[in-house]
Amino acid sequence: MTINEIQNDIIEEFGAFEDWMDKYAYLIEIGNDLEGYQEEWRLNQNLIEGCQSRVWLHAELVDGKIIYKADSDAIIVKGIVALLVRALTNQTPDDILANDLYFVEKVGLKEHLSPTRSNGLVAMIKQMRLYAMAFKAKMG
Amino acid sequence: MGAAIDYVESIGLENIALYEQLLLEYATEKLLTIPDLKIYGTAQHKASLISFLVGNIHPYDMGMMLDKMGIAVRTGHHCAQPLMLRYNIPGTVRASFGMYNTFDEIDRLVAGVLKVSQMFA
Repeated sequence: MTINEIQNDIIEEFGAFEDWMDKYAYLIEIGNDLEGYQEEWRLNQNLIEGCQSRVWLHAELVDGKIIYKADSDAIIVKGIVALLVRALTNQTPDDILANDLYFVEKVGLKEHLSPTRSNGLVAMIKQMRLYAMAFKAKMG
Repeated sequence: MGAAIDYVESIGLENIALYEQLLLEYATEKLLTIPDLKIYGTAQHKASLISFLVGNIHPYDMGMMLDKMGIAVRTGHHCAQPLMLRYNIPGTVRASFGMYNTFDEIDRLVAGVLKVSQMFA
């Protein structure tokens, strides 16, 4: 699936929720379900420290595509982390760099990406793009 | 500024302090009825604010949900990282009460915290 196909799926899923409580209950659910972040990756170099919550991000290049794994100590942040990983993992650096992640605004989660929230999410997206730039350079 | 001082003086600092202490006592008593709620900072003559956590619910999660319910609290380490390290917690949720707050608003805070703790249970 392309990044935009995944984003459109996410938008459709969120379209089913009538009120904010259901939406956040879903975020909590996918936050709780996010797994696969290995303890050996829980290093300071992978830590994105916000004032409010912390995010860990690990990335590796497999067959020309980037595999992202991430985690957070706050469940709502972790739910959003799970959506970002779902949209961008297993994609090429070029596709990742060309995408603007429009789903975040469409599903009403943009407030979490305000720098004043200081929850690590803005820095996480920046870091995901930096990995894409670095892997792209490495691939030549 | 002048108008603000006139306003505060017309009510009286002692009255304000007394009212805020009553709000604090009421909120403390009500919040402590919530299962697994722990208050951080219980000095006898502390200012009218309560720093707390419920179980292992992250303060950001609690603050975010309360915000959605129209309840304003502050969350995070409050620039007191060494103290948070000492308690081994990521931060706290902090509700502050002023002369403009009401007992009814404290009931709403308590109901909100209870609702959030159920969502994360």
